[in-house]
Amino acid sequence: MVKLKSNDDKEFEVEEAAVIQSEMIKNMIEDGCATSVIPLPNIDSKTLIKVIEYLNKHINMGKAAETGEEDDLKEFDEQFVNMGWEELFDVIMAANYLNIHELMELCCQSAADRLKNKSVRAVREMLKITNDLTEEEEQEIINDAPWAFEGPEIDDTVN
Amino acid sequence: MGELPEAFLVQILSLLEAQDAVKSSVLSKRWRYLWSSIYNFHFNDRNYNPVENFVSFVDHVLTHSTCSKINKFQLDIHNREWDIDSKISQWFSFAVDKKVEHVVLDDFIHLLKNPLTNCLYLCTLLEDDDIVRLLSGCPAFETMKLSFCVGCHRLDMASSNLKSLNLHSHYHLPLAGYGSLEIFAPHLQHLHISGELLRLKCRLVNVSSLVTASLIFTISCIPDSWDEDDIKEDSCHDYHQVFRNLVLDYLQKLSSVTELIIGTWLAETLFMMNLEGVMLPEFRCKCLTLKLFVTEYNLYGIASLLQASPLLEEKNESKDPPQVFN
Repeated sequence: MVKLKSNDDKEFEVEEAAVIQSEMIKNMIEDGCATSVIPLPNIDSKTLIKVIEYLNKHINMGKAAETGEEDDLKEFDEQFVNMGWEELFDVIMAANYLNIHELMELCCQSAADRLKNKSVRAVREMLKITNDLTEEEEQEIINDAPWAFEGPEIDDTVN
Repeated sequence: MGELPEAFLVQILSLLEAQDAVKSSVLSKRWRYLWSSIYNFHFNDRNYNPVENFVSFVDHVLTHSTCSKINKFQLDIHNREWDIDSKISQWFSFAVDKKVEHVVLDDFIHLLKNPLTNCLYLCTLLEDDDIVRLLSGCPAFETMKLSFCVGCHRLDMASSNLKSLNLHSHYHLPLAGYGSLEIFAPHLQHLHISGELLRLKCRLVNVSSLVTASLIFTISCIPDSWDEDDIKEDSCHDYHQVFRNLVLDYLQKLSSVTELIIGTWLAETLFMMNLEGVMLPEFRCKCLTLKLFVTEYNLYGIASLLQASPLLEEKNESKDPPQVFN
């Protein structure tokens, strides 16, 4: 078992087989730097719980692919990314810090899927982006590449 | 999202179609030039008419791109009336100059003249010559994935250094009756065939360098087809004979592979062969993986394969692990 400590001082025990999906922790263990608790100053406990849930489910990913449990994992992944934007970004940051490639890909793909075909207004609202462009600047950008802003299928709903 | 570092935003933008990525430029000042760093380019013509708009858009995106290496280049062009072959060739050249890793195409392979080095995914109508022409132009090609391709009867990879072929669901024309596909690839090391081949007899003519082979595809028997009423029960026998000969040929061609993965269709055919007392050739396989639900039907088929594999060191089962294995 490996002990991880979040930045709000909560400790979590994780099986080594699960936790070594993080390249960062795997390297620490290989270098003998994981003898006691591993502090994770960039990750809060709420996010860490999510990450550990993912790691536990994805133990022996390679094996699962061979044993036909892919569908099961796929379903888990779909459920897993069903979270708010802020939480999703926290997990992306954590996955990047811990260097868990698959989790990073999963979350970025989910972000992209949510943004697909959305109107500019909808994206701003979803990502809480304040538009600091003047109207002239905005028009200039659109005039630069008017074809990018065309199309009948643009979706104005927020998710 | 405001807090997310730009590298992550670029990663997310790279997963979008180019139009969505470019649209992000108008979100705010911070986003204005982010899209120019995207490393995947996925162009889809569905929102563009006339053709000039599409061409202008692609040109705009590529000329403003600052990425040094393209990961994926994908063109989905559905409008067949457009005469933009020279433009497409130009775009391919751009992608190749930027050391593109993956090219995903549903057509236009005749325009791919520059040598690609890594991986190509095709989903297209293929002529037999297409593959030969493509490979002779791309001698450094390592991996080719053909997914839901239609047409060609022979994959001639004799002259290339292609190491890995991945064939997923291949169809022949016309769809009724049996078709055939011959694979001639003496340098190939990894062969993976999966999905649904309908009634395509896929034959391995020369795959003498293969190290790993994965045959987890399904071929339909004629009575499985939609014109079921016209088929007499006993005609099934002839088709099963075709299956048996096909599998026996696979086993002979694959007798030297070190790793073999088999699926349901192959195991069931092995069972039929087992019932008829067909002797299997000896196998030098060291690792056998079964991707199937073990049933009493295919169990004996697997057993006979195990008997023919004296060097086996490892066996992996998938899905439903069998209870008996004596």
